[in-house]
Amino acid sequence: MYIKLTNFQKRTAELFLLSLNGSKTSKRIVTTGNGQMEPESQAIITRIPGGWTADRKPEQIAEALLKADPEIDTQLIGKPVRVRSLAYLDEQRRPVCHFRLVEEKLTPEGAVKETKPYKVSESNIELPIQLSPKGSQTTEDLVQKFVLHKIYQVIHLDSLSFDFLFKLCQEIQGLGFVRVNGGIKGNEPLTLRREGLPSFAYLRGRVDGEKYCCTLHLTHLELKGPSIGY
Amino acid sequence: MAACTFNIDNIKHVSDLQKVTRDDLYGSRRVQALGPADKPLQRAGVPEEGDLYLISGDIARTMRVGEHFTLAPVEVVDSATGQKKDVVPSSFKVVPEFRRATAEEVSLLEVASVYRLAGAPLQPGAFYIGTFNYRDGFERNDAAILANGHGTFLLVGKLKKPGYVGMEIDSQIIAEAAAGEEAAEAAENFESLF
Repeated sequence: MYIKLTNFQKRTAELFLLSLNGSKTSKRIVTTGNGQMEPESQAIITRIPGGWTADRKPEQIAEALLKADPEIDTQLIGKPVRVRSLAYLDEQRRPVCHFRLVEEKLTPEGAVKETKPYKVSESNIELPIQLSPKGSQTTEDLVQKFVLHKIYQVIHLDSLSFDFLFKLCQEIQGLGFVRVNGGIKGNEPLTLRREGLPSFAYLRGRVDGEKYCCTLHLTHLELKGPSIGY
Repeated sequence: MAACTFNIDNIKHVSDLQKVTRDDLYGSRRVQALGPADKPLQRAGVPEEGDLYLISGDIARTMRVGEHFTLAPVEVVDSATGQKKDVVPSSFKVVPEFRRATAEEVSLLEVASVYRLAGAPLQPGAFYIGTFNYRDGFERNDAAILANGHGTFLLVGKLKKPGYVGMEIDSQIIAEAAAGEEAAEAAENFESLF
């Protein structure tokens, strides 16, 4: 994904965030009459939607079982299915057109703390992300305080952005992990994707000869235990 | 959670694993749809035919090979060589080894799970790297053990290896060739434009 990064001199360059996920080293195969093939996962209907016993009294269930095999529907069970859209159903399993989405925040103990209308969190990396003069961490402090859940490599797109990034890495090499923020004021944690969780981000830059290595480390969890139950 | 034995820098430690999640520390959030009279609604999937409302439990996943379903046993092979892959045993069965490491190495671990090791008191500031697989599997997971003021933690995930990046010079070679004599001739040859 593309980002715009503003350096300490307030100059901005467009760069690319490269995910460092390696390709899978293994694959699943099954042996068939035509040789070894890679199976695909397929969703199928496994019961009559909602369950055939729904809204029936026990005596009605018993009666239906005596008369026929109501749980077996050969037209439906085992049918491949691809879900295309979403609906909301009421207690009678009828679709509801007028509804509202609310977001409930729960405490670690599971109690509802706050309820508010649901609002989709938007990505904030379309605006330039900025290096913060505050909040830098040494490597030791960073790994002892936070859990890094995602690491991206930041790479250049052209010779201008190479020069920008190479110089930036030279500049921050001795500073450890430099905090970067998003938003108009440059004080928000980064939200990389729509509906994504905001994360605190730290940039690490190193230089070796005429090459650089720039990584962006994201965290949304402190390294500590819960205060209850221990 | 079950106790696990760790060999940390050649010293054996036995500890329970207490999983730590965001929900445990900060609480969680859930999105709910409310209908008339604020009654909670049930989410359903609509298939492409649009004739059904499928709720949780109505669908399961099965294996398909080509046009047919199959119940044939699945083998896991190496993607590159096609050789059968050995099972990586659970770390509860085979004691995982951890060696001393630097904070720099630990900073390249992309963490998927965090466990607190109450039974392995270590000095804050010491870092250890090894592997840890909670269950039997086919991919080995990297792991780090470190301590801070809150206790000793096991971090499980994948170590990333970002490389150094240089400026590719291919484009400059092309640019240099184009800037030679041929380019000068081409610039004046208007016939070549048709």
